[in-house]
Amino acid sequence: MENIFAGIQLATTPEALIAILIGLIAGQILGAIPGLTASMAVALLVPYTFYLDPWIGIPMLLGMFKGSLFGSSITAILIKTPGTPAAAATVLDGYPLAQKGKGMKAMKMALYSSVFGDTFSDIMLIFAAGFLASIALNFGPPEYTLLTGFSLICISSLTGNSVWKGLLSVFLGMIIGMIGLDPITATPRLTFDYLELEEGIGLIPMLIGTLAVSEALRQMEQPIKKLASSTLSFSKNKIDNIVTWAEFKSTLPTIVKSSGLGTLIGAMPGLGSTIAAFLAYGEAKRSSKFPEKFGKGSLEGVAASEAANNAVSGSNMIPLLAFGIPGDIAAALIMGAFLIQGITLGPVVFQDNPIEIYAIFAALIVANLLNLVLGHGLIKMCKHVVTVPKRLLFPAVLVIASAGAYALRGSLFDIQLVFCFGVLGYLMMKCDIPTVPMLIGFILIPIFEENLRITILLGSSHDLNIGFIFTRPAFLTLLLIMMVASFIVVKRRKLQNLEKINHK
Amino acid sequence: MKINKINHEKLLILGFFSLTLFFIFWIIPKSIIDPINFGIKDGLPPSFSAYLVGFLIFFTLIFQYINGIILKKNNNFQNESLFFSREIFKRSLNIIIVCLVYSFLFIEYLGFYLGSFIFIIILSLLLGEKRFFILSLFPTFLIFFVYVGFNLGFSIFLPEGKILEQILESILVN
Repeated sequence: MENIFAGIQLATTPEALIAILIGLIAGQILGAIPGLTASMAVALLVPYTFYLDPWIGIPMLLGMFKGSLFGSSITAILIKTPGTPAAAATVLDGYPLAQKGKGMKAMKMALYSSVFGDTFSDIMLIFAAGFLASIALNFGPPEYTLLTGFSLICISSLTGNSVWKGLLSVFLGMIIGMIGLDPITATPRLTFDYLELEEGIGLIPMLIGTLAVSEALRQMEQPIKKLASSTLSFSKNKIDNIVTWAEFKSTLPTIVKSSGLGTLIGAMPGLGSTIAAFLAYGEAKRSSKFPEKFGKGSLEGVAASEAANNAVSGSNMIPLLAFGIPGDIAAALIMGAFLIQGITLGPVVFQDNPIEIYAIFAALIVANLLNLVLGHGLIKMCKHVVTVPKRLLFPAVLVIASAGAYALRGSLFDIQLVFCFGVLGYLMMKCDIPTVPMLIGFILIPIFEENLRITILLGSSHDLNIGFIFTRPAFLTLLLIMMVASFIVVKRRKLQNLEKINHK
Repeated sequence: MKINKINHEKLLILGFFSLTLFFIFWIIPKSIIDPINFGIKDGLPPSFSAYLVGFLIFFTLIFQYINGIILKKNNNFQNESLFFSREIFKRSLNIIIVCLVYSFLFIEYLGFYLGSFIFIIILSLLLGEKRFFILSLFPTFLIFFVYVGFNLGFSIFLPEGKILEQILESILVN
């Protein structure tokens, strides 16, 4: 108990609170710039933490990570440009809501669900770090193959009106994801001896291109008179600018479920917040009473993706704190900052540095509360940005997006990719082919392929051959959960269809 | 210009069908060369996933052609039409060309800052902005903002451009 109080005291000193505040503000601003990811925001700050006191540097890093995750949703909602890949799923419903004049409502829902998801996963981190880490460590290549394969199949629920076009889009994303060196044999694939392609296509240029540039191209084709006005207008009706208690209550089950899903995914090393957001969005749509509203401006959609992507931030610290294994790049960077300060994370950290661990927990919770307060300020500020006329806003978006794309790898090729994907996305829009499944296919294919091939390699050295996967309790449990979930969804859909027929 | 939606879909499927065949029979064999003596004991070859996805697209297109076009199942747009405006086409083409010139030529040769300055002016003019005051002040302000944020704030040095580099080089040599 003494340790807990000492930890709380350490994290709530005025210096630590100011550090969290600075981290949050910087994170929110960096997160809102397309191309600068949460990991990059943390990476930019890590070297400076060496010169700071540990209990100024580490809370600042945590604040920056949390702030950037929320900041990225602002641009996703207002200008269809996710600041970080994690907010790509927020675009699906956030942007349509903004187009209806409900941008403020969407941003506030994103803020509340982000803070909820964040706090949920932090509480899970505090109370269930050991247990969740042991579950996550039981996941091997067969389980990852099953999980990602299932996700690829689930994408059909995100495909819009035409299933074949959605599938085509997923497959296209998978092909683009294969460009580069083969993960097992390092053989170049689809590169045509072009050196820049050997590194593979970067997610950031692809995201910025297909979502932001394509949308800018679509908007810029409008008649000149329309381009003199601003991109968005905000409804003057008060109810359209706030999230009512009834609305929050109705989305609460989705938020809780998505936070749980995000927490679980965050505890598994290598998956990350983008996948969590898309999975939660798909799940929310499948289990929703109003699935037809998704993609057209559903608050549930915004809440699901935001709660899930933020829930990853706390739970990816679970394997980090319990086993010293970082869940993603941002967690690895935070681990680096701890190492700089002389703290080695892993099972013994709870014995060797208990006060520091409780201080981290306290700092995480404080950062969430401050994120809620600061987020309101950021929303009000960003409201004015989109009042700039379209004919000035879109060129500005294109220039900032190019700078963001270049920043990550320092490659001119990435800027060219941004515009190539922009044109591709624009043409896909014109042919009524959804672009989001392409992004999901692109994100999931490396994980799916690598794990599938390792599973088959493992099978070849096993007596049961590939059948060995059915001897794994984790695989069978996951399979059972997926089958039960699919069965419940199919049954619910049938009931909904029957209800619709009865209504008619 | 008006085009029937069903014909549009037919054209789309046939277009993708030819692209898929090209991908399976030309692109994959030319660009993915499996290691010599790669056997089943070594696991799946590097080209496996590409062929798998290629054939999945192939069968999806065949299925859609039979189901949607020949059997006309799940097709609720038999009489719907798509409209194409020549003016919009011309506008979009101009904008796309400007964007591609910016990304492939301006940034590489003029550098990010000068290239972006010219790009914003051209694009804003294309989009109907004619006020000189705005056309000169807005790009200046934006470029300054990007410079402060990226160069000074995060020490991310955006490309200088080949022409500027050469000029600087020649000045230093002299």
